[in-house]
Parts: sequence; C-alpha cells; structure tokens
Amino acid sequence: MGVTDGRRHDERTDAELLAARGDGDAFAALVRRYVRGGTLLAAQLLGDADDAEDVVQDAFTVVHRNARRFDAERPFGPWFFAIVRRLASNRRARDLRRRRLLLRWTHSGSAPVAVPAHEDAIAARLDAAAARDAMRVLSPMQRACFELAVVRGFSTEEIAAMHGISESTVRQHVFRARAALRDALDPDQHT
Amino acid sequence: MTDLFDTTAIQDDPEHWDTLAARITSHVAQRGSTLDWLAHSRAGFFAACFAVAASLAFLMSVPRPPSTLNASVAWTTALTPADDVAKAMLERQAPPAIESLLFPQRSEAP
Repeated sequence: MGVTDGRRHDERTDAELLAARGDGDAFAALVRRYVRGGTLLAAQLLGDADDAEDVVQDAFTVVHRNARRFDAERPFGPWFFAIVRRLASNRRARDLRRRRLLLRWTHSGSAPVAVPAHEDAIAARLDAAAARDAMRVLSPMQRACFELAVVRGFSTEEIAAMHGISESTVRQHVFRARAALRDALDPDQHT
Repeated sequence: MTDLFDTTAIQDDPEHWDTLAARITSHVAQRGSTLDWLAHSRAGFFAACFAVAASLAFLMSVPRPPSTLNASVAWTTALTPADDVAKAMLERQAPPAIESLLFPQRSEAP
C-alpha cells in the first residue's frame, strides 16, 4: 500500500484532479491519494499522530489555496510533501519555543525531550530481539526509509518525494539498514 | 539532521485513511469556498464593494461627537447678547423702531 492507493478511485492524474478542484470529488480523490503518505511523513517529523494530521490538513489547505501556482508539468507529490515538511518544521520550531518558555516560567531543571522510539516499535513488529540491537546502529534517516519501505510498503520513488531526497539515496539507506539487520539477525553468515 | 520519529503506532487501515481524508476534504472545502467566492467570483466582488460602501455610508451618517456639539452650544451662548436692546435687534428682520426701544411698555400696550 503506497501513496497512490487512492488512484483506484479515480483514474485522472494529480494535475487533472488539482485543476478540477472546484469539483469536490476531484479534490477528495487527491486527498485520498496523498493523505496516508503525508500523515506518515509528518508523524516521522513530529512524533505525534494528532499533530501530523493537523499539519496534513493545513498542507491540503495550502494546496487548495495555491493550486493556480502549481506547474502542471511537474509532479504533484514532491510539491505536496515539501509543503508538509515546511509546515512540520514550523510547528516543531514553535513547539520548541513554547517548551523553552514553559521551562523558563516553571524553572524546571530539565526539558521533557521526546525520544525517537524507532528501535522498540519496529523491532516489536519484526518480533526479533536482535533486530532491536541492530536498529540502534542505524541513522535516523536509515530507520525512517527502512520503516517506510519495509513496514509501510512505500516505493523508493514515493519515499524520495516524501523526504525530498534522491531515489538512489533512499535505496542506499534501505540497503544499509537491511544489511545491518541481516548482520544482527544472522551474525554467523559471514563466518 | 533532525530526529525522525517512529510511526508504527499510527493506524494503517484503509478505513482510517478514508475517514481522515473525508475530514480534511470537508475542512478545506468549507474554508476554501468562502475565500474563493470572495476572491474570484463576480458576486463576491460586488458583495465586497457593497460592504465597503455601506461601511462608508454608516461612518458618514454617524452624528458628530457630543463634545463637538457642546463646544458649539457654548460658543453660541457666549456670543449671544444679554441686554434687551441687542436681543431685539438680533431677533427681528428689520431694525426695531426707536420708540419701542426707548419705551418698551408703551409699544407693547394695545
């Protein structure tokens, strides 16, 4: 299941759907097509499902408002995911400012910092204790690409558009993550 | 590089995404329709012009502030003559007869 799940409902291209956004069904089809990828991307960037859904809603509002500026010759996905990344970054910066202000007012000793929980969550899905150890050695982007590709089933092209990186970089991250996990799960394979 | 968080706690079934998509579509349509109508339709343009004209008319029809009125009354009172001769000259169109000014009782008698 990938970004383009909603395509089964409407055969029109993204640009055609956006151009016909006055037709409620067209815009709804576009939202269905990208809501999953946008929300998962925002959740990876923010660490909170509710915040992610808010950001995606704002992103679609921006898309609807600025549809006339969209260049129909270019793909819609990268444009949309860039909006999601920017809005998520703004929200993250705002939350950080608020947290600092709160700390200043309460004179608390330490900030409640959210910790990425990739290791435990993905390892639990894979049901392998060794995977947990292997995931710890992966970089955040390797873990994110691995999760989107292996756990969520997104294509390399989709992940590249979501994170604004090249497809070869995505392939490299996933390849290295797989290799690290393989080593961790079967350490005797090289002996 | 910023931290990237785990998303495995997020529901990943089609029903969840359909519900979320419907909610977002409804929200965007609600916001977009009002803004689009005002920004792009001819009726919206006329409605905006009418609103501006009505606001201007309202502002112009509002009576002057009481402080200005009070000042005007105060000036009028101060400049109005207090003696009978001056008042008689002020109230009539033509100058009064000298007799009426000199002998007011006689002139008022039948």
